[in-house]
Amino acid sequence: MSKNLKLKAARAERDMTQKALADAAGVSRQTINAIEQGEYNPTIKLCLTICRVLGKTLDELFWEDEENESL
Amino acid sequence: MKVFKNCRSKLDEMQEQNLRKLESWGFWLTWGALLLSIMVQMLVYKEDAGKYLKGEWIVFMASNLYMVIGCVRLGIWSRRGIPSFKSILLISLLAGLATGIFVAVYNYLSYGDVFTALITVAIAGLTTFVLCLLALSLSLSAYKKRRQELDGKGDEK
Repeated sequence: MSKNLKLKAARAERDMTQKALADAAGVSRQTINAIEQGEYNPTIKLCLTICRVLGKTLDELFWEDEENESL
Repeated sequence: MKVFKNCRSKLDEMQEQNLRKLESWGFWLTWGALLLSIMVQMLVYKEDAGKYLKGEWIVFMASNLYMVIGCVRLGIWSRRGIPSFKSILLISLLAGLATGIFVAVYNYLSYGDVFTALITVAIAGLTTFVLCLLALSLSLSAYKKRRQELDGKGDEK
C-alpha cells in the first residue's frame, strides 16, 4: 500500500496534528500515522469519519489510481 | 449499567485487529506447544501416560472441537485448503503416516522390539487414517450444508 499523502495534506490544510485528527475521529494517533504511512487499510466506517472531520469526500482522500492500488 | 459501560473496548479498529492477530498467534502457539507436550510426555511416561495426560488431552480435544464447530458455523473450511474429498484423503493419509511414525518410536522405546513396533505402526496408522477420514468427511458434509445455507441467505435482487 502506498503512503496516503492526500490525507496528510488535508490534515495540514486544516492545521491539525495527527493527535488532533485522531482525537476527533476517536482513534489513536498510531492508527492515523499507520494510515498515512500506508501501513493500515482502514474500514469504510473510519474513512467516512476522517472525511467528515476533514471536510473532504472519500474520493478526495482515499481514491487511488489503479497503478497504486495494492493490498 | 455502569460496570458494563466501563467494560467497553478502549481500542480502536487497528489496535483491535492487531490484538486479534496476536491472540490468534497465541492460540496456535499454545495449541502446538500442548500437542508437543502431550507427545513428549507420552514418550517419557510410556504406559503410564494415560494417567497423567487426561487433563491435557481434554483441553486439546475441546479446543479442536471449538474450532471445528466455529468454522462450520461460519461456513469456513480453511484458509488455504480446498474442501474436496481428494484433499481430506491426503490429510488423512498424512495424519496416519505421522501417527504411525510416532507410535513406532513410542513402542520401540517402550518395548524395544522392532517387529511389535512395526505391527502396531500399521494398526495405529490405519486406525488414524480411517478415523481422520471419517471425522473430516463429517466436517466436510456439515461445512457444505452450512455453506449452502449461508449462500442462500439474503435477497439477491
